[in-house]
Amino acid sequence: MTKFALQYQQYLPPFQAYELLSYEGVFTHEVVVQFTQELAAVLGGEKPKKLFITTIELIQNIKNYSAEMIDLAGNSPAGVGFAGVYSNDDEFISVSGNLVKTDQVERIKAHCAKVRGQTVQELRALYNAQLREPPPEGSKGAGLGFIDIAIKTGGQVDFEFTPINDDVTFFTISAFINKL
Amino acid sequence: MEPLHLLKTTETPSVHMDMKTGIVELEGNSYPENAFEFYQQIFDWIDGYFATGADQMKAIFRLNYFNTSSAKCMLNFMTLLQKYHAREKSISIEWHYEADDDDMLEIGKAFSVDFTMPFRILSYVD
Repeated sequence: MTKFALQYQQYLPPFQAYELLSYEGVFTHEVVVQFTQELAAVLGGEKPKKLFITTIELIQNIKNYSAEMIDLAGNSPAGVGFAGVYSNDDEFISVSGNLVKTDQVERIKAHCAKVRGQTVQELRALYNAQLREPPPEGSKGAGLGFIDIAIKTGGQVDFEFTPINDDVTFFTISAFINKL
Repeated sequence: MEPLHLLKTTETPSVHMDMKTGIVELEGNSYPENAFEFYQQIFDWIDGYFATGADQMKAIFRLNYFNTSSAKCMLNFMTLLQKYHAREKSISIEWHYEADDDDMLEIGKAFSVDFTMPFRILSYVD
C-alpha cells in the first residue's frame, strides 16, 4: 500500500473563521456517522440542515473516492482525507481534502465546471436531470454530489487542485453556507 | 408476512408499515453507507406485500435530510409504487417538508412531476 503521510492541513486555503471541528485520517462509515454526531454536539441547539448534508456529501466523497484507500479488517475499503468545519459571523465553511490520482484531475475538473457560475434554479434543473440518469462510470452514488453542494451553498463552492507529484494531486472542496 | 419495521438510526430513517391501513412511513435522516442496499430491502418487502394480494399503499415521506444516493433511491421507491398504481392498486404519496426547508420542498416537487399517482406535498412546523 502506498502511504503518503502528508500533513493535509498545510494545503488548505486560509479561512477567516474559527474551527468548530476537524478530523484527519481514515473515513470509515462509522467515522462519517461519528463526525456528523460530533458536529451536532459542537453546534448545540443549532442544526442547519444545509451544513449537515453538505458535510455528509463531502466526507462520503472522501470515503468513496480518495486515492488513498485503507482496507481495515471487517470494513469495506475506506478513503483517507481531511474534513473541517469552520464558522464566522456570516457563514459556516465545510471543507474536505483528499488525494486524487493526477490522471483523474481533468475528469474531476470537468465535473466541477458543470456547476460553476450557475444559478440555484439552473442547478436544480441540472440535479433533476441527473437524478434520472444512470450513475456516471466509477460513481458509487448518483453523480449528484457536486450539484447538491452547489445548490445548498447557493453556488458558493470552491474547488482547488494542488499537485503533489506525478501520481497524486491534493483536491480541496470548500463549501460556504450562509447563516441566516 | 411479517410487518416492515426498521428502527431509526443516526443515518437511516425509521420505516414502519401498518398492514391494516396500508400506510408506510419513513421518518428521519438518510445517508446510509450503501443507500441502494438499504432501500432494496424495502422494495423487496413491498413486492412481497403486493404478491399477497394487498391492494393499497400510502407512502409518507417525512425526512429531515438525506444524501444524494438516498434521493436516487427515493425516486426508485416512487417509481416502484407507480408501477403498482398502473396495475390498478390504490397508491398515494405524501411528501412532508418542514415549513422553512425550501430544498425539501423543491425536491418533492421535482419527484412529483414524473408520476400520475396521487402525490401531495405538505408542510409541517416542527
